[in-house]
Amino acid sequence: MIDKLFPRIQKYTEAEGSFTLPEKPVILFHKDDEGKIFKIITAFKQELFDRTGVDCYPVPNYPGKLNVSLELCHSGDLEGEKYVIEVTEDKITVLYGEPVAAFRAKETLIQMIGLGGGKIPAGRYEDWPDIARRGFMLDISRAKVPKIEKLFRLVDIMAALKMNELQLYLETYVYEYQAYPQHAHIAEALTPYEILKLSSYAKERYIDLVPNQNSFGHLYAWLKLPEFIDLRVEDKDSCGSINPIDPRSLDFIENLYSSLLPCFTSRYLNVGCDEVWGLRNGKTKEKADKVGTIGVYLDYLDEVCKKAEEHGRRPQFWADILLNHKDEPDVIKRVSKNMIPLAWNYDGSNEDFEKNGALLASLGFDFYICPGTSSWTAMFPDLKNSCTNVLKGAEAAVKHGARGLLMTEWGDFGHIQFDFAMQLGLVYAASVAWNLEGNRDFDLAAAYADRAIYKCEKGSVSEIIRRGADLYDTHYFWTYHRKFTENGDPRHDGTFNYDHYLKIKLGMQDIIESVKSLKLTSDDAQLLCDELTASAELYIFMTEFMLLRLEYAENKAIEGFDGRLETFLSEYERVKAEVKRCWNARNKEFDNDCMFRLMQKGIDNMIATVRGEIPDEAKK
Amino acid sequence: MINKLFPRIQKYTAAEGTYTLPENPVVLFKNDEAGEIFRIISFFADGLRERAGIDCYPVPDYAGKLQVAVNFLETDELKEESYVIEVKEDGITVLYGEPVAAFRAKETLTQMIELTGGKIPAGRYEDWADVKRRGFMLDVNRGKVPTLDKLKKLVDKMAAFKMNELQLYLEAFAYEYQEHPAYFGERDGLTPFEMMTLDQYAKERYVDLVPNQNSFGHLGLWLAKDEFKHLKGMYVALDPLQDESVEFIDGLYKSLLPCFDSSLVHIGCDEVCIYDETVKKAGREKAIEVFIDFITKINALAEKAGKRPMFWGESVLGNADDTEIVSRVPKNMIPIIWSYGDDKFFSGASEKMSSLGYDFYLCPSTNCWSFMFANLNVARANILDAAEAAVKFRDKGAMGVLIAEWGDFCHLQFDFSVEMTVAYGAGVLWNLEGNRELEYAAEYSDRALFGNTDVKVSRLVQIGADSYDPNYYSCLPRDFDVMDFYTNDRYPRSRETCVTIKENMAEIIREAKRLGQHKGSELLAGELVASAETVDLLGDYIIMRIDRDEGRLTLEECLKGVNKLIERAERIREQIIFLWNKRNKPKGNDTAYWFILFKLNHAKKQLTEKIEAEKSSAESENK
Repeated sequence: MIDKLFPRIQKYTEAEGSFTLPEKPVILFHKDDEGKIFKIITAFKQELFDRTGVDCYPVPNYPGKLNVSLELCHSGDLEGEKYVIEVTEDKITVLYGEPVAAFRAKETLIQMIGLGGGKIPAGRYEDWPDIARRGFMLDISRAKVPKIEKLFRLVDIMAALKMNELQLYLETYVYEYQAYPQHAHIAEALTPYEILKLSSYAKERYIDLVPNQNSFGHLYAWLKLPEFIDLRVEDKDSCGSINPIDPRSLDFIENLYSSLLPCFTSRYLNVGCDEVWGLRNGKTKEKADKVGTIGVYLDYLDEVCKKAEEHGRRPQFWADILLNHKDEPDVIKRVSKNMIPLAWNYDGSNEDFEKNGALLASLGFDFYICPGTSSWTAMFPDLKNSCTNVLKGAEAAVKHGARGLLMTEWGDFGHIQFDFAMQLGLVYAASVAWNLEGNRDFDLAAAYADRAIYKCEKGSVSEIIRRGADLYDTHYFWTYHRKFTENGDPRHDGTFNYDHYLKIKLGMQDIIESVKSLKLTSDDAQLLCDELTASAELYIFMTEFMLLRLEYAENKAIEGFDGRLETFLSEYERVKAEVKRCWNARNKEFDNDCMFRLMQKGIDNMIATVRGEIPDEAKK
Repeated sequence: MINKLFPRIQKYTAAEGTYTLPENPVVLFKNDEAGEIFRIISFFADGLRERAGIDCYPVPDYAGKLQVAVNFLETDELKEESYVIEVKEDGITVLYGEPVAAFRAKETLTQMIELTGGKIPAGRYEDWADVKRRGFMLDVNRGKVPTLDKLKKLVDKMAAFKMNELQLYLEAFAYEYQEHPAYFGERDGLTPFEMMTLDQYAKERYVDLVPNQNSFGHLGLWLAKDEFKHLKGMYVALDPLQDESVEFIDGLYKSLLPCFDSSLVHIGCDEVCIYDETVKKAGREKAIEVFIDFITKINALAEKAGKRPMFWGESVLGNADDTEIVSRVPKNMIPIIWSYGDDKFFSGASEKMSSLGYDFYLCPSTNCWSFMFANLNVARANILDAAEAAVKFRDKGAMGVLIAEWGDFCHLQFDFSVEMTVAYGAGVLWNLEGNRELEYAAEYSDRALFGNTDVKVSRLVQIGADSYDPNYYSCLPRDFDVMDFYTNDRYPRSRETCVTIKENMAEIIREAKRLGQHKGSELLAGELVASAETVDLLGDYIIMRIDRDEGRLTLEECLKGVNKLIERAERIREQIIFLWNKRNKPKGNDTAYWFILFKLNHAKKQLTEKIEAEKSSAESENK
């Protein structure tokens, strides 16, 4: 049982015998003035019943003549999230210093009871987190805006994983900013009321909902609006960075903050400020010539962070621009220690986390390490990359005393991936952030997801996702951007061939078959199966597209094109409709067409090319 | 609209024009760290959607370019529950000093919008409470132990009436005392977890759940047990001289009190009898001295638990002229003066309590128990009397008013008549002058409690109440007592009264069945029908008895009639049990109609014996 607890706990000291839970276990707890422990007990009672069928009997302060099975005791010796569960043959005692630790113990205890069938090995179970802040960031700005119910569910999943921070990434008007009601209806945005509810729901589960508002780069959507076009640092449509030396820019950011921040009780704010381009040649050229682009960047970052502080929040910011100057100590030292650099890196093959972690720690920063789920721009995630990325991140975070580990899930390319694509990565990140040494083995995370999230009775969802992940190919999505005559992806070596496509096609067909034989008991079981199937079908469809492309590349013609196109297009419509249906189940309908618009461009390009409607020059 | 607000508000100063609420009204409020105002705003938003079909748009702290429809604004100038709603042509401002006042304003504003469809007359709406503590006490000990769901709904209703205190009356077993797990099976008791859940639920709605544990008399159920027999004093009271009696109460308190956050506890101590020899043994001259000695010990237990005790004050009141003795009651203790009649009582009693220097409560009642329909007319006079005295003495010790609903005779009455009475009480306690008329509470009850259909349930409740006749006993067990087929005394009531009452019941049944066609009102309709059928059954019984007295029926015909009534009663009993289980825990539901059936079967036995006796005397005469 002990090895199956997830995340695996830090320390177990064995003792003789075991404790057997009676049918209606009495739980003695001690009320606190704010009612926090009672709330935890209420959740414990409900979850224990839902998950194990055991109906417990909580009593406050005084056991009388009842036989107490479980007692929650406050202990002055324990701090933060640390808790101890002592199991003797007579009873179970949970020791905690702060309510949050009682909340953590609740989850472990329910797993202990569920896994052991109510028979729990005696001993001392000690547990604490390796990393103080264990977070997850969900991109809600790129096409896919989640329904509020999905976010509540995400909080539940995170709470069970002992995570304590959630961020929803904002760069566009998917939140209804009170300062700009005229743009609130462009998207199906989240309302202040929804965010308030989520913040309160998360807080009750000891998850800090941290506002995340990009405040410099990535503001493409805003800067396309006539009202803000003047604020671009460069006068071109592709410009996403706001002009940092125009005072109206800070007014704009202040308006976003005033609208957004009151919904959050968190003491933090992620101000973003990653991937800021255009400072060299844009309206800031003159200043950049004097102080360098980094000088321009840091001056503005300072201002933004001051704004955050005026709103009573401690700022976090993406540290990519800063870390580009890691060899310039004077630059790095300019950054206030109140600011929290977020060192992100989504490539599992490099050693960035180790290097950046060492640097930021040596300079005395409170910093975060941010790996990614590697699920964006594909239907199945690049799990191997993600796992290495996460593990290296956690190692660096523990070694260099990072304040937090923030796992990121981005929505590039229309956020086409379904939730399952991020979940295994999320589970794994949570576990190594809690207890690195105990949870290195990814199989533990996969087994937990099957047990606790997908509730597999027959078959294994995680195994299916891993098979899909082995066939991972982002090339498929990027290729729609390109001309039909261009084979391959310049980021990969060489071109793809028939064998490659056949392997993916057959692999996806296998996945569809495996999904059919799954038996799941989660309340979203059917939807999950549909999402898995739709993902595989979309891959198969895209493989057909690649095969056509390959054939054209080899023969400069496609035999029987008209007939094959008809089949191809009707399959496209069918799969598209299915993907959208699944999308709409957990997300707002808004922009569920985003990726298909890009695919349509690729298809139109194919038709025009094959029919010779595009001049030869273009074909080259 | 202003006159339809319930409770009617204290003051309205009219202004020109109206404010029309937009489709998605923006509601601005100040978010606090603890989230208290946000919770109130959530209640407001949920209530507005459910009750007025309006989806509002709450925003915290900053309105930006949004047009604010309702602004919840904190001000230092208002205290406690006082709030002001200012309606201008461009928007509404709600002013409050403490969160509780924002909560009170929320209910008023929701009604304002509900009643006007969002077109609200401009002006200044000012409101505050006349009586500081406005409570309701529900007997959960006799007959019905309510489900947690029913109790939560009760809290919702009380919060809507702007009440702020709830007590659940306990003697034994209706709560599962940790100290005595051996008796958990006696009843479907409320568990500590349920009690805590309710406490939290009530607290979030600004209703203080005050523990109420009888701690001296009325403990017969405990004292009948072998384990506690030796603690028995006179009748159903504890022996006040044994230390173990205090320890027993301590065990109950340690089990019960931690469930409650309230700073008060009701320790009961009503209707206590004390043997003369106990008084002598105690070295005292009067029973009241022994009573005070004992409650002083209980006071210490309550204080140990961090709670200030209130106790039923009739024995103190009865001895109020004996100032020296009565003043021995510790000054922190709160006598609660009860009286359930329609005579003017509370002012005089308050005068006495006030002159003794105690903080005190007044306790009128719903006048519901032992009848299927509340004696609304007496209840109204009784509650009004208490409210008047509470207002008159509010600066001279009157802390509040607690309206009692008792469950004597297995708590057979249903909730409908209780609710309308409590609504009336809540109205006069909030704003005495504005809510004197019963019709306001009746109109509100139809709208907010009885499903808002074309069937005016308040009228049916009033018909039921008017059918209550002190000379007829309306319906229940007491009547069966006077109906004895052994006696040859004439039944003292008129046949015409019975016929009128039967006609009334027929009307209630007819209207209730019409109500039952409305979705969501089926259960209430069932309760009305079962209540009226019970009274109707009784009417037939009495008519039969009068007809026999007046020689229109033979004994054989009576026996035949009683047999039919038994059949009818069995059927109603089944229905009553079904209805009971809908809002209450099932254990004990079989006692509900026990008394009525017992009496009918007793009548059957009497009649059979009488017929046999007449037969044999006729036979022997023949011989």
